[in-house]
Amino acid sequence: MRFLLFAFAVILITGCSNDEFGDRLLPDHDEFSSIDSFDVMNVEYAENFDIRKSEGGFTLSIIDPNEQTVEKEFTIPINKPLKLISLTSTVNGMCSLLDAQNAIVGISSTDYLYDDQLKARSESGLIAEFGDESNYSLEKIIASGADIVLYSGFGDKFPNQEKLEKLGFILIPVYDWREVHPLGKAEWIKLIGVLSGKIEASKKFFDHVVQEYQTVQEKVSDLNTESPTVISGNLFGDTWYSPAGDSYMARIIQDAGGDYVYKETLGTGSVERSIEQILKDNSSTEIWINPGMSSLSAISKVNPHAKNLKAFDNVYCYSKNMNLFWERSAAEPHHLLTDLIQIFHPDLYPEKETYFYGKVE
Amino acid sequence: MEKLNSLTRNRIVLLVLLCVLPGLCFIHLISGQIDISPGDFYDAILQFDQENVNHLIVREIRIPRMTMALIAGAALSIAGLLMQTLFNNPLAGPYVLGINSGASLLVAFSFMTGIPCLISDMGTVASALLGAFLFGLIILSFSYLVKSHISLLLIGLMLGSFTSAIVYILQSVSSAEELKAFTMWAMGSLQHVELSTLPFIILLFVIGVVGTLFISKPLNVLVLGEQDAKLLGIQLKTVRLIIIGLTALLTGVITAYCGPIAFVGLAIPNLVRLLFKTRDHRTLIFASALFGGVFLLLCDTVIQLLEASILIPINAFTSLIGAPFVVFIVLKRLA
Repeated sequence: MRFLLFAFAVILITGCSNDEFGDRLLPDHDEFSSIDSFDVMNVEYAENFDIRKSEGGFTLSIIDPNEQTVEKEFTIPINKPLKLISLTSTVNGMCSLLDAQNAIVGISSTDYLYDDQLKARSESGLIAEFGDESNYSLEKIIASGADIVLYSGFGDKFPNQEKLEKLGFILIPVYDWREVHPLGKAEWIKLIGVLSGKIEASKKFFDHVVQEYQTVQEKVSDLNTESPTVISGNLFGDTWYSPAGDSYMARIIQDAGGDYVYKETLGTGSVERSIEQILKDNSSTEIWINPGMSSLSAISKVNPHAKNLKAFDNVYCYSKNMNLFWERSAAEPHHLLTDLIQIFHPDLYPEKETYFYGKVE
Repeated sequence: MEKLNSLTRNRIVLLVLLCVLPGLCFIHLISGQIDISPGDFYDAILQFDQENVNHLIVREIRIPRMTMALIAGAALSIAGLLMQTLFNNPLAGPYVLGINSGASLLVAFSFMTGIPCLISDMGTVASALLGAFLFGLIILSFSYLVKSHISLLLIGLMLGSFTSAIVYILQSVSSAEELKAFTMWAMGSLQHVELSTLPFIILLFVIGVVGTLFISKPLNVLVLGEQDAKLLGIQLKTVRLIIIGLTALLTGVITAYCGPIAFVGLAIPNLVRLLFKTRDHRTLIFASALFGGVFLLLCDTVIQLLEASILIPINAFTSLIGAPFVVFIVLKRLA
């Protein structure tokens, strides 16, 4: 089960050229010289990593999300371009947003790439495929000449962790998916900025995201209309998994002006419900998001009782381009927020196209 | 006199179980997480209101779920009995001999090829039936080559491993949605059948049961051994093919709609033989169906009662109970 969830969530790398922010935000000088500006780059929202300036570089601390203790600590030099193997889509997306595709030398699979430049580099052999983190070739990683392997951290340990560390590889779990605040998830771009030498760009990018997120959020808080009721998730086996009340998704639904049905539940993971309970709790729920399927027929195939939900006529999924979603949604929560606002309050952006989400037909 | 007593005892056991059955069904129906009043049950059946959630739960979830527990338990138990008689091996069953694996393999193809007609419900059923029948024929062919019961069981297990490997490869090249759909099917569930689908499933089930009752005499003779069966004029080839066909039908339809459910087909016929001490297949078929249905109904009732604190897949629960029972059978045979 854990592996499957991992497989769905941790799609591979890619990148596309930095569009909206490229010319405006990315400095054209060598970022490795900008260490002084780091004094003002605090970690504000993320809870699962920390960055400190240290002699000759930066000390990165990865915080264990369960124990809230330092799980790993590394010193990253500033004077050396690092080669990264990225086994999570989030990192690929962040590298592409920072125009740092050159730092990536390995990905899980090209099937899930969105970024054109990463695709091109992969086609020309500059980026190798390694498979997912549960089933990779150890020797291929050793032969890659990479410095750092970034992985999702869904499992307790990276397979062959000790061997790779003995050989000098730095293994970094990217716990963005455990962040509770949407901006905390996005803030991991600062860590990628340090690893890829795009420190200033990552800081500017994140500041821009914070500003955008707050601006969009304010639009909703000014609304006087009633919030639509929202359910998220779907059946897996006989169990319906929905985000718990303190989770990232619950938070962003609330921020977007939705009335999440399970907002009162505790925890940052998921809540489990039987299909009977779901039907009972959601007899009048208006909107259903994130069913994990991009067509109503596919939903009915795995969940024949879904059509008994009132919200079955109003299902939305990040299906416009799945690869785009997996790469960019973490770093660009303002797009995600805007999409959800467009779904919950269509009058607010009558002309605007959604970025990630589409109606499931 | 002793035989008469045994016959009477068996009839009393079956009669008692039949009398208890409606009560068990009622307990199953009211055991869900949502409290539903008897009035709602009555109205859901006779004055159904589409807007009433309780009515929906009764009609679309509770009644199909209860019916599927009974049918699946009965069908898999009869299929297990057929396998055990055909191979004269008490440890045979559709799951152990790879019949379920055959159904799973073709269902995996149907889910992951992306061909629309195969992904439909009918496509899944046809795939499961075909897979179960093909693997039934394969295991039957092997039974001519190996005489040892253990060897045949090992071949069945190897068929299972072989198909698992192919399914694993298929999964690795399938899309995320196909993978999810197949994974969910493979987890097994009694809850995914809708009321509108029940008549079709019941029809196939009845065909399977009636067909099995029709061959109860040849089944009785098969127990005596191949030589005796031939001397008594049994067309062995034809009977074997019919048995494989009926097993495939009963296993395939249940596997298609509920996913693979382990150990019912293996454990229940053995339990019935232990209790009834008869070789008469009319009794064994009826008892296996009744005990199988009741067993799965009880398993699912327990699952429903535990739902508030833990959600257990049906396949995991039947394995929890079935596996120790099979070990018990093996130890009993060795003793």
